[in-house]
Amino acid sequence: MSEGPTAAEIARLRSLQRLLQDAIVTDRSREGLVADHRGGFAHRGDVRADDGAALREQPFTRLNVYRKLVRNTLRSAIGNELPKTRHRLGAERFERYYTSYLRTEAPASRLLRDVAYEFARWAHPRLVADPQVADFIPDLMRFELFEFDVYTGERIIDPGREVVDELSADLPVAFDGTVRIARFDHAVHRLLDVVENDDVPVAGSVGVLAYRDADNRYRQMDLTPLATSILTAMHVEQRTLADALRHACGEHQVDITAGVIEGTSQVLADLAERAALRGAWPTPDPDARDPSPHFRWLCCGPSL
Amino acid sequence: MTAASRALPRRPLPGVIPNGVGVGLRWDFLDTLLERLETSDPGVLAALPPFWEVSPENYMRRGGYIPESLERVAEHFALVTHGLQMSIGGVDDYDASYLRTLRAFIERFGSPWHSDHLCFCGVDGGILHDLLPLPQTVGTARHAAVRIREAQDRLGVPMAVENISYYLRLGDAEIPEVDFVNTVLDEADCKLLLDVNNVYVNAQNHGFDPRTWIAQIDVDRVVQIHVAGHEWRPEDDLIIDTHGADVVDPVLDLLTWTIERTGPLPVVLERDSDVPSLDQLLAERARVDTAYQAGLAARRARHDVRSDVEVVRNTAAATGGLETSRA
Repeated sequence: MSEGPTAAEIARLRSLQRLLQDAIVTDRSREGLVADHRGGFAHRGDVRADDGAALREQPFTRLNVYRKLVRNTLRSAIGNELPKTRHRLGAERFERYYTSYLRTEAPASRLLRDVAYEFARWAHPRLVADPQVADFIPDLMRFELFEFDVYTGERIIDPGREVVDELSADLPVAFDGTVRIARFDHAVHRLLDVVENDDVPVAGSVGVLAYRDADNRYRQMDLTPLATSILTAMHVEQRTLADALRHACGEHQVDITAGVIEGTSQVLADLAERAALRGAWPTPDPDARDPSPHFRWLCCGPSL
Repeated sequence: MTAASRALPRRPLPGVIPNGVGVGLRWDFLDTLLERLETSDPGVLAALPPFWEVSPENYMRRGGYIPESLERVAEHFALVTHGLQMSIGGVDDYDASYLRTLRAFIERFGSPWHSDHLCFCGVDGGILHDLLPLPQTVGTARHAAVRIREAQDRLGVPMAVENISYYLRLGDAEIPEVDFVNTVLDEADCKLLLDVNNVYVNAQNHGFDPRTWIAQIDVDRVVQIHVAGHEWRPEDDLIIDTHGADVVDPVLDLLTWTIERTGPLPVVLERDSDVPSLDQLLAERARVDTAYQAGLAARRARHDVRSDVEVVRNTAAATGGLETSRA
């Protein structure tokens, strides 16, 4: 076994990898890229002359084919998980957003299905600020991924962590790993499950709890604003049952009445019957793993 | 193996990938495959491949129907893992979370080795979900070898690297591609997943003889073989390794020629786009198997000839006669 590469060899490798990646993600025109190629990428400053010359000697199409292959793969991956958003945005606007995303923020996850989430997190605030985009589309985009996350979520997040059957006021509640709870500003979850649908969702705050049942079917239920707050405090913030009630009732400026406690008990019993609730965690765990890397963004929205 | 013996309930041997022609498992025909696993028809079961290859990235950190289906497939078949995004030649540090999850996946399904591509997938935190070419330099080969050794340590199984299809020489090539691959294999002391379609595609796109290329590879390093289809893209003036078409006859001939030299190995038919029905894919697998069997037959014939030569030599030595050689 010989020694590893020198620092100079790594620097050379890095410069060539940056060159190819930049050529793939840039939104420069074809003419601009052709000019860069013809110039042996000397303008970059970090590419060795012999490497630049070797690239210049090869047809531009050999560089450009990587640009086409990568961009097609990523475009398809995003479009496949966000078909309704793409339809509502229209092909031209979707392409503009996609091109801008690639230029400013390349995908980072090694899982192809994460690329749509990465795109959505980048695009959400820009879509909200875009006066040409209907105001429900950012919600629709988040909801499409919310639904996808339910379909693909792992049921047991931490197999080594014990769950007790009995719920208790001073314990955090253990939900099934597929459960997602979110608020939306439009009833996007009520739209027909058809891609080419142009209905406009009703505006107004809605709370949705969704989970995957034992037959791997997507299930969702509407929540009242108070129930959304209580369940979010339990599920996302990992608060104990009692603390979640205090927190949510404080947020909504209501007392913790017998009715609130009874209503919460009924919701939890219903979720347990649907197997969306597994029991309680015997102790709080501040390091508990989220059900997915996108969980907080999906459940709490773009403020996170 | 007879159809009747193949029809018996099968349990894969842990850590063993059978020699022969397996297929890359794709979701497009998963339902059909699961239905067939329920059947008691010996002919139906016998027509299925001896093992499947799976890409862990499609299942990692995922629940639901797809991974549950994979568990069912694993009850009947050996699975070998083939990764897509390790970025062996990348300069960014490995993603620790990715490697941990990958290791758990490999251990769960008992793959005796894990393969990924001799390429990079991105830089400065980017992952572009493609197989990007590495500069063919000694320094890059050493870097890739260090990374492969690290991956083997962190995954707990031997690594096999796959020679990729490349359309661009990324910078000044100090050494030919085959020397680059051999340097990586020697320095990392790892195995090779020899993709004969990639050798063919590169030979067409870069103008060399694919048999000469393969002849320079140490066959003892080869642990698995890939075959796939490719497509000519006139607008790029290139053959693109799309995995979206049937395997062409010259690639099947190259497989036969290669198997004659390597002997029996696990071979995987890959199909990633325009994926046909399971029956059509099994028919394609049968074509590949015919080429594979032809390679084994040629190897047997060659070894028989060699045995004959040895007999003649030994006889001549014993009798003090002249040594005789036979072609």
